[in-house]
Amino acid sequence: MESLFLQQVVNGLIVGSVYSLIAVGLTMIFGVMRISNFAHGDFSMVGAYIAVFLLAWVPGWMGWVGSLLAAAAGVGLLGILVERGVFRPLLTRWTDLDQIMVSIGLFILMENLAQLFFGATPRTLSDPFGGVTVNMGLVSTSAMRLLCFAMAMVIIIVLEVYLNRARMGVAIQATAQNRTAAQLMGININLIYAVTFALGSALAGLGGVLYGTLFAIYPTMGAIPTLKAFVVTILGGMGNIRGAIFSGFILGVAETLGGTYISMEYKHAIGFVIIILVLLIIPNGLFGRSEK
Amino acid sequence: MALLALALCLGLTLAAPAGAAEPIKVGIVGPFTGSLAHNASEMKKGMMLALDQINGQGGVNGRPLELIFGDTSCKPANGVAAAKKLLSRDKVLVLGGGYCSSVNIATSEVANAEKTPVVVAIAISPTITNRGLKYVFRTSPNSPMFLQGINNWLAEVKKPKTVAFFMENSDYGRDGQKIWEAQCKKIGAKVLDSFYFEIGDTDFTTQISKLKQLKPDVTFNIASTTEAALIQKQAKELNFVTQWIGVGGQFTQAYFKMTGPVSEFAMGSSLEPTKAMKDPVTAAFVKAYQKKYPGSRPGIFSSQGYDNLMVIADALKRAGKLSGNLAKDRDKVRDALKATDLKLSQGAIKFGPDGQVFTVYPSVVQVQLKNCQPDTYIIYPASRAAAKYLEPTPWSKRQCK
Amino acid sequence: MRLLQTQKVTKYFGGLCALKEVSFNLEQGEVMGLIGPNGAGKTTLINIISGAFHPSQGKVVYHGRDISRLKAHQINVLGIARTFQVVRIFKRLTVLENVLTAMVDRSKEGPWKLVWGSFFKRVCAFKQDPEACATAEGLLASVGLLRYRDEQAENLPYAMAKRLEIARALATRPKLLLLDEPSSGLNPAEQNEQIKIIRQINEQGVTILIIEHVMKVIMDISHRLIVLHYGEKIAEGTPKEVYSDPLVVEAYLGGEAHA
Ligand SMILES: Nc1ncnc2c1ncn2[C@@H]1O[C@H](COP(=O)(O)OP(=O)(O)OP(=O)(O)O)[C@@H](O)[C@H]1O
Ligand SMILES: [Mg+2]
Repeated sequence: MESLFLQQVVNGLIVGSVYSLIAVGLTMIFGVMRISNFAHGDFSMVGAYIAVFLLAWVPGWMGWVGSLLAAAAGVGLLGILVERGVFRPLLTRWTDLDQIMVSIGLFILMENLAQLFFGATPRTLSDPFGGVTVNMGLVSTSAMRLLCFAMAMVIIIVLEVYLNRARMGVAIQATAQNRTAAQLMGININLIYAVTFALGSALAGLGGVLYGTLFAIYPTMGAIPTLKAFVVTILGGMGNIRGAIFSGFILGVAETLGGTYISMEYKHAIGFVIIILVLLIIPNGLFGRSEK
Repeated sequence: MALLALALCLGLTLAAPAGAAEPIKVGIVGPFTGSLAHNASEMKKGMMLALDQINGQGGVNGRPLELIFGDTSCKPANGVAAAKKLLSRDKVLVLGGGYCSSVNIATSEVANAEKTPVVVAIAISPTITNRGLKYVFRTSPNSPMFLQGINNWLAEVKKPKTVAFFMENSDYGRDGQKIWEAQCKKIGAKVLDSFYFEIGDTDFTTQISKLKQLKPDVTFNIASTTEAALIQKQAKELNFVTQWIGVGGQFTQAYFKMTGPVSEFAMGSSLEPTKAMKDPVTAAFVKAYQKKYPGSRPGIFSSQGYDNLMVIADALKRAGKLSGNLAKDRDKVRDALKATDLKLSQGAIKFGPDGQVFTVYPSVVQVQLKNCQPDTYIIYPASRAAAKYLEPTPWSKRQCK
Repeated sequence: MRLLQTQKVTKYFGGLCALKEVSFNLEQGEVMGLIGPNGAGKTTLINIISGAFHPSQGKVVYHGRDISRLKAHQINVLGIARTFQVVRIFKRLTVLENVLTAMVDRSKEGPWKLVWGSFFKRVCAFKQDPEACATAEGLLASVGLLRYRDEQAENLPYAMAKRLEIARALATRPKLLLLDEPSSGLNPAEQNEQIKIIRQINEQGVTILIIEHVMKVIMDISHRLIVLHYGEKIAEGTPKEVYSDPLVVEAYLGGEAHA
């Protein structure tokens, strides 16, 4: 006997884990630098294409695991370049609107470059499990989906440990919570910016590989992750990392359950309905936002 | 050859080599320049093959056929100008060709006003033949007819008891649903539920999980390549089996690259002549085409262009000896067109009272595996079928990975 | 010995002149009070010394070196720490973590080590680092916060949050501590506590520059005072001298002196 409810919860948790992963990067960058990066999902797209090329070269498990590492490193590096080249020079001069325009410009540029270099044809990553499905009585899913979920969880846990235990992590959190105070306590803000942007981008890249494994890879694929990551970030409180983690799962499950029991047509609207409700009742998001 | 094509594009006259006898002039319109030029050239290649065959067998009633081309660039204004020139200056007996619904809605009206028969080759808007214009014919199926093959198959072969809809939230999806819903009502299939998704969606697990609970015999799924492929993959991941039916346009190279064998058993419809080689007329067309254009493969537009000119030539033949009075001769050709009864590369061709061909409909195709490689094969109608319909099997029984 | 000197420090915010050619000396070991009416430029002066702003003109010389162009974190590393008029603690860290934060970047290992080394070498260990924790706990004890060690900082009562800022500043091992109204918003009992703490810090050899509106506090602990008024230094001297200066009485103490 299969349970529709449980099945939808599982579907929601799997997608939610990827939402969380991508949103955590976005919220970190916002928390520390006050940058709303509308190109965040396109960093995921770059990560996904890194996986496409690596897997074409080294198929199977080696390629898939290698893709995660390469995407984290490659997109992290891209993040450093973008931070130094685009965002940092403007950081002291711009208004919020400027930086939003810049990130939207970046998003358009990245999509167009991807179209130019990779072509518009959608691609998928071959499943190293060979498409094995897992039927667990009440629910069924594929081994690959479970692995993506597990990978997302592992990455989120490692990040949590890093942010809470490592010196750098503590410094990042302190900066996110109070930039001025952190700076005046001897923390080198520019270093924190670089590390945060690199880390946030690397998370987007990792999320992109998982997203691409679950779904498909094409130049405009970044739009949905960006959108979802913003919903999750607002829901969890702008800049609140743990809030983003929980909210990713909440959004994933709310979408599948809402789609099942309320209306399939408004599946995408559910996230926005939740946001509006949350912002009306708790303006700082479910878990509180970070302050300046 | 290139020079010849150039001459044609410029609308120059192409005289048949027959010599003495005065040629019969036929006007052909189409978007020979602009973004659709490639497709229009496919149509023209089909027509040139037909022209070769007709004139090679001595032309029509001893007179060679002469084609005069007019470029529409897929713009109604250009189309009207081209049609007027062909009708009044070149004094063609009949107007053929045509591509782009908006252009043909206009040109057919011009021809009708001039009491000249017009036979539209490619446009699919129902409007073209439903305005009660007496001189308008169409050799291409209109948009509802594109789903006719599937409808016939459902009624005659599958006879589903329960169906569900999982459609792209667009006119494309919603219009398709209306047509299939009507057919389901007719054949007594129960519609369990309808779901929609947005273009660009990637996660369909919610809908598929729900479909899995409903267990429909047939799930209609109008979707473009990417979405359709993702739905197939996710259905597998959720261990859901149904008879998927789409329009058929999704079955592209990219689709098969994304799905691999996962898309096995999915269905749609197709007008590709190369798929219908069992039909002797179609097979003969494909062979002749490949002989004339070595290395190329006739597509749907070549086939429609070929049939279009063949229908015109047949009507001219049956109209008999021409009087030389243009108005009288045009009426005669129109009357002959009404009685058309042919078997051509797309199938049988007969016109209804509205001038719309009602015997041509796309073949029903199913994705089947040969050596684990997916491809589409015609399974219906039997006269064209290249393979037998296969019931979808449970995922655990499928061998290919 | 002279620890810090400001030389004609001037600061404009757009057209507004918040500080006008302010010069003064700070001797090693002393407690200097900085007073003046609201908007006089006191916080701005501390912001400039700590590197939050650069001066529009003039210099800040520390240990004989011009520090007015350095970045805030570099100045902190040189031994200048501060607290804030409006508390700026890290609300979602615990009290102990707040203090540890101030010790994050003390290593001389360079940024690369900070990013990786801390994670792999001492995997997960920073918060259990016995040396760092012992120091942090000692600092918490010295300001009477040890019993709040694992409390989330945002749950602290206001007076405790102000003390946490002091402990956190001390964790950076400053030679000069800049205190911006450390006892504002405290009740008299808490103010006495605060005076005791500040005095202890000074007794350990830390030079202090303190902004304060509460007269009792400032009279009690400062060796010398300077008075700012509309961005200008109008008086300097011992508390007694300053309070009898007619210019000061007129500009600032007017009503209050008689209260
Ligand atoms: N960042 C800033 N931008 C613009 N103007 C500022 C800024 N900081 C301070 N000012 C202005 O500079 C002047 C001095 O402010 P400052 O905060 O230094 O005063 P204060 O002496 O600390 O006052 P209070 O006793 O109220 O704390 C004020 O007029 C203030 O409005
Ligand atoms: Mg102040």
